[in-house]
Amino acid sequence: MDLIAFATGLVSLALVYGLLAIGLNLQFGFAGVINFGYVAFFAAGAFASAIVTLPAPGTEAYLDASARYQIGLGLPVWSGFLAAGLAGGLLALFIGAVSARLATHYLAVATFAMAEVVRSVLGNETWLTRGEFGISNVPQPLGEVFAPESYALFYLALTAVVVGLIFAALRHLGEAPFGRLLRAIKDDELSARVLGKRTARAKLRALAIGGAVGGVAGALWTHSLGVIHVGQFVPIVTFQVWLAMLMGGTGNHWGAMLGAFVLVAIREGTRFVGEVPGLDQIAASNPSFLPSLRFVLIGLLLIAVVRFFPGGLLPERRRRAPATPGTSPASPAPARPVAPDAPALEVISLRKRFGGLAAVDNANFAIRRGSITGLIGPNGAGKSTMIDLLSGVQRPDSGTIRLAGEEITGLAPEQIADRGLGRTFQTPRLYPSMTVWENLMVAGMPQPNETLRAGFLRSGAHREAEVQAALRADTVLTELEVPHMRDELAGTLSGGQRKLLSLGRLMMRDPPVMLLDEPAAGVNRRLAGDLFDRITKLNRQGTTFLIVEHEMQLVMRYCDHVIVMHQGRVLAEGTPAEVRANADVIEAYLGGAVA
Amino acid sequence: MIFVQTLVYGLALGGVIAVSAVGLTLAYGVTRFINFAFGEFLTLGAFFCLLLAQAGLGLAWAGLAAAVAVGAVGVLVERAFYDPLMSRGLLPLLVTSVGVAFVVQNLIRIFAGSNPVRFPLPLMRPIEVGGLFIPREQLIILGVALVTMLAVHLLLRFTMLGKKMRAVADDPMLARVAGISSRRVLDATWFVSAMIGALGGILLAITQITVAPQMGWHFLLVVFAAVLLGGIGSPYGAMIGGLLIGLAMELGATYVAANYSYAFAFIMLILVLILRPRGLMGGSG
Amino acid sequence: MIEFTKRRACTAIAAVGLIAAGPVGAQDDPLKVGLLLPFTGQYAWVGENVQPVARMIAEEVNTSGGIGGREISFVQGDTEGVVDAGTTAAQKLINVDNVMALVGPTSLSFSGSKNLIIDNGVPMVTPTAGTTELDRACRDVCFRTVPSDALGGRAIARAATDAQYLAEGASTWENPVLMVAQSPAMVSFLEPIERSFADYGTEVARVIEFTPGKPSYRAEVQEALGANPDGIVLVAAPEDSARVMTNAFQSGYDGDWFVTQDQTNADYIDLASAELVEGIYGLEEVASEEGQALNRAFEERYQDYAGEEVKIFGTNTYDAMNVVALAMLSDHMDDGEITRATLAEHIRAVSDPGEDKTQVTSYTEGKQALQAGEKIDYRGLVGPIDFDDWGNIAAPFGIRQVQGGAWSTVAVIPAAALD
Repeated sequence: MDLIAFATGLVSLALVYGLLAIGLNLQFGFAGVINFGYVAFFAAGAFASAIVTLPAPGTEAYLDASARYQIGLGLPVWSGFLAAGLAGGLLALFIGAVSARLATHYLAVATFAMAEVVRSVLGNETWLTRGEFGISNVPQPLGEVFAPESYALFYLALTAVVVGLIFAALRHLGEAPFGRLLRAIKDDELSARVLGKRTARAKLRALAIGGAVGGVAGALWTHSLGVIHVGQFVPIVTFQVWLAMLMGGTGNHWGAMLGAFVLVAIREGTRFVGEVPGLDQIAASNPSFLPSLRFVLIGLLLIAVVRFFPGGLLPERRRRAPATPGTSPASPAPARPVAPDAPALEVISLRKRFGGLAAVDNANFAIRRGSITGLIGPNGAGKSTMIDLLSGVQRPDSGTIRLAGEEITGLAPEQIADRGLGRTFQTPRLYPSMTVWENLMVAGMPQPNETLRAGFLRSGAHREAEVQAALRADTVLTELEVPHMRDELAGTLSGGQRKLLSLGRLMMRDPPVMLLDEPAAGVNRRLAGDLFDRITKLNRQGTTFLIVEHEMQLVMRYCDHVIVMHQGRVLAEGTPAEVRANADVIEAYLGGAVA
Repeated sequence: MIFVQTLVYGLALGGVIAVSAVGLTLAYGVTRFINFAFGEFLTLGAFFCLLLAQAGLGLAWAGLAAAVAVGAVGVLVERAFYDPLMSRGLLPLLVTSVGVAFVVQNLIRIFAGSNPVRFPLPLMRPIEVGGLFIPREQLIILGVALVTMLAVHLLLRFTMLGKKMRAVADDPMLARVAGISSRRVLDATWFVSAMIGALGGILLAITQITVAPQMGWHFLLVVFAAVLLGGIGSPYGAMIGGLLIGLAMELGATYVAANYSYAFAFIMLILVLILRPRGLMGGSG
Repeated sequence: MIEFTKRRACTAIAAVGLIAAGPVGAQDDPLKVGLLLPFTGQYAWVGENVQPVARMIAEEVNTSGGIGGREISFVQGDTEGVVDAGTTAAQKLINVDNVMALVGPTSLSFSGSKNLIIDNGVPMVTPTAGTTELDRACRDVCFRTVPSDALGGRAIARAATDAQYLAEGASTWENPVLMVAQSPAMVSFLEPIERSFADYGTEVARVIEFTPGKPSYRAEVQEALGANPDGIVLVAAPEDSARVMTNAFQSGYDGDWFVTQDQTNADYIDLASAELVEGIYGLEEVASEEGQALNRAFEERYQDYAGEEVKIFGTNTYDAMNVVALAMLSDHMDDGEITRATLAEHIRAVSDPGEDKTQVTSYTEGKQALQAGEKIDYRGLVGPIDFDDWGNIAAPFGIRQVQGGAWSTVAVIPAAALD
């Protein structure tokens, strides 16, 4: 019995699956991309590395092995690993670009289908892969140096080093602003976009890295086996990687790695089911009995793990915010140049229809810079739709929107956010699985810090920007009087606290124009007053506000201008007093539902 | 002529896919996750039918009885495995369904063995019409498929249960508020879904002549493609999607390359999804 | 920990074995033979077919007192029909179960387990891997009791182009079409069949490769019939073969068929229906003209033992297991010990031909001869079982045809006719 050899083989396998699981984890656990075609990257990497490193046809090594494949470049093994990463990454970019518009199930099945197309190609294009014959002379790095018995150990060490390096790099990346952004996207992509985040680009990058990691795993695996065959890359591999990741706990690379070991333990451990006394006799008369029983067990174990370990075996731990370095006060956000005479926000002949219903119907208004403008109207008047149109969450059918004199009609939410407009949602859209501090940090992180490069190599400027953001986060927490909530998960906050945090996130970005959709709804009276006091304070510092609010008392007290919408149109505008006296407004409110 | 012949074959294959897809999509409507164990309903349907036919029941009766039995299994599976996880979102359900698929498929193998068994339909000469060969088996398949789809249509349009099912599928929250999403609607939907799956499995067995424990699992991917193509949760979309996938597979295999015929189904799916991210009948919101 | 539980489990199994085997005692560890085969997945039927035959021989060995008092027992290594699982299954069999020899693997799993088998020097006798990839893959420890697909393919081409090997009054094929499933066990027939037809002066009109496991093959059949073939050579698993033939029947085809060894058994007639397969040709490995009597005797014995007809790979397994058992016995009688390293040599010793050797056709015969101090040459159901340097066998082929709902032999192609 050679348990060391047995264990060596299984640990290598588990490490390779672990690498696949953390690659997938970056795509799903971080960026929320449901990829059910992950095996395609594994396959692309394996074949790329094999083909790059196989001895070229006609060479001595080729003839010695009486090989029959048609393409081999004969390059050293390290270049095979590079090629594998590249192949996996490029394939991921392609798949990501094709499926960019798909969500959940559609994305899952489309990626599944694409992996099957890839497998179909690999199986049919025999000039490249030898199809169903496979290629059995894949070079093993330093194979000639070691005896066969010790080679497996050497290769295990090599695998451990490669996997360890990638693991460390991905963990580092996960804690960097890039990783934080990905988790934010997974929690709520739209909410990240209105904070100016380039989510599509970040997701594509996460996909590509995950693909490259899968590719390297393929290279590791094919050089360890010494053979490559299209039959290795069946959909069940994707399932196994998903299972490993989910069992371990998503969003957490340690969990994904642990999950891979548990998966291999279940998969291979159940092979010993025949050792249970008594089963042997049934097995003698029914050859299918033990192997089938093994899969019944595997199935039941999967079901049990999912049911009894909801967060995975190693649930993600709540992150603690690091202590803020230094005590220097946060420097104020840089002033933005604006055209001096233009209104802060201007809406001209704006229209938006949903089916037969005109939600916004030829609306016109302008918002003076430095004002707090209230947007009121009965239910269904089109207020929330107006906010969506202004922030780019929905595209208007016609009309023009100008922000500080610059046209922003039809721009994407992140572009509008970049031009200096921030918004909150009626139901706050936070990142529930992230802490309050992280929510603020995502919002306040400047774009250059969220690139991949900055994830690995932080320059002095990046570090300085991060310190600034952290200082700002502390300031905001203090201003909102909730410094004690720093490390609470946003998902556990009360309704009022969520409203506060929504505003806090905007304060991190400090845009010149803020649109607040019912900031005080569901907030108790005292807190609501505090909230509006804070708004007034920000307003004095130069921020222009457009606030949808139902609570008339608040509107009358804090707003210096009010716009009344009714049935998609602007019914009236003026000072609070003027609006209150307006006969049309009274009619609209009394005629419609009570606001 | 070859084109017309290929259309006939494509329609018949499409009929099998469409029936299975309708079953899958109905359950999706009320539970909102893709059930990877659905293929096992197909397999179970075929095996139960085989078993009953071997016991001496007429094939048609055996098929109906098998479908009812599988419907009951569907309710059982839903209650035992899926219901406790209903509030936990997409992925736990998905993994659980993979586990259920493993369990069912391998239980079948323990009892039925691995060697393929012939489905007890006698060999029949095709009908020859002006140079066209129309296999009688395919007429049976098309007939059963049409009746099944008509029955689903009638169920959804004109029965109280169908209306409730549609209400739940349209807006589960609203339906719950309206007091509809009762245990009974859920059970009934799973029953119908699994039952139709069993019928699909029997049609599949007729198409492929043999019955084996992994038949449903292998066929599932094509069924998924049909469901997605039509738009998840839309029974009419699933019917159209099934027929289109069947046609794409046969036409692609005939006119482009036979060994890429699965790939054609998937490429077609991907193209449709690029143009309409929620499938043909999936709506826009 | 693992050590402990394993030992306990082994004792438990031995205890069960004792009760099951009755009075025949086995004091020592059993001689473990690994069945490295798919038992689940798409090719699960392979393992299901091989195991009972192997077990039948093992019982023959065990009831006659075992080998030096040790019984043969089996450990299943399920390759799941997937390359990776084949590798881990082989790892367990070789490193944990310490099997003395392997029966298996299939063409698919060989690629993933090849290095393990060679590095650990585990004798492997496969009844199931005809792939041409194995023709020159491994010396010393690899043997197979299934002729290379290169030979089988050649035999098909030879028979189809030479009326003396076909049924009486049948004419040779002028316009053959070749249909091959894309799986490792099948594609290796493609090149030999195509080349051999050309060698015998007939060009294959069309070669069609198809994806295994599809529900129907109408497009593929249409393409085949488009060439107006007078005969179709079909290389596929039984399920897929039945579908292709049914679809062709439904498209009005009534020409000849030639199938490989995989379909030349009673099971296939049941699967595809007797009416459909009436008149088709099939291939069978036979030892010689007289060897056929042995085949029929085996069929009867297996029917008695298992209560079913011989299935695919049945005869190959019979030979593989007899060779393994006889080699174990020979190894034991040599020095009282059985090791992997010496076992491979004894596999050759009991099967190589020789002037001074006694020819035997079963374990019991071989045992008697060995105990009488003779040297033996095992001659099997699928041929004389004389391994070449790479562990391949050459065999004459029986050409069979379905007549009246059952296979009957119409001709035998001697090995020499395939040069």
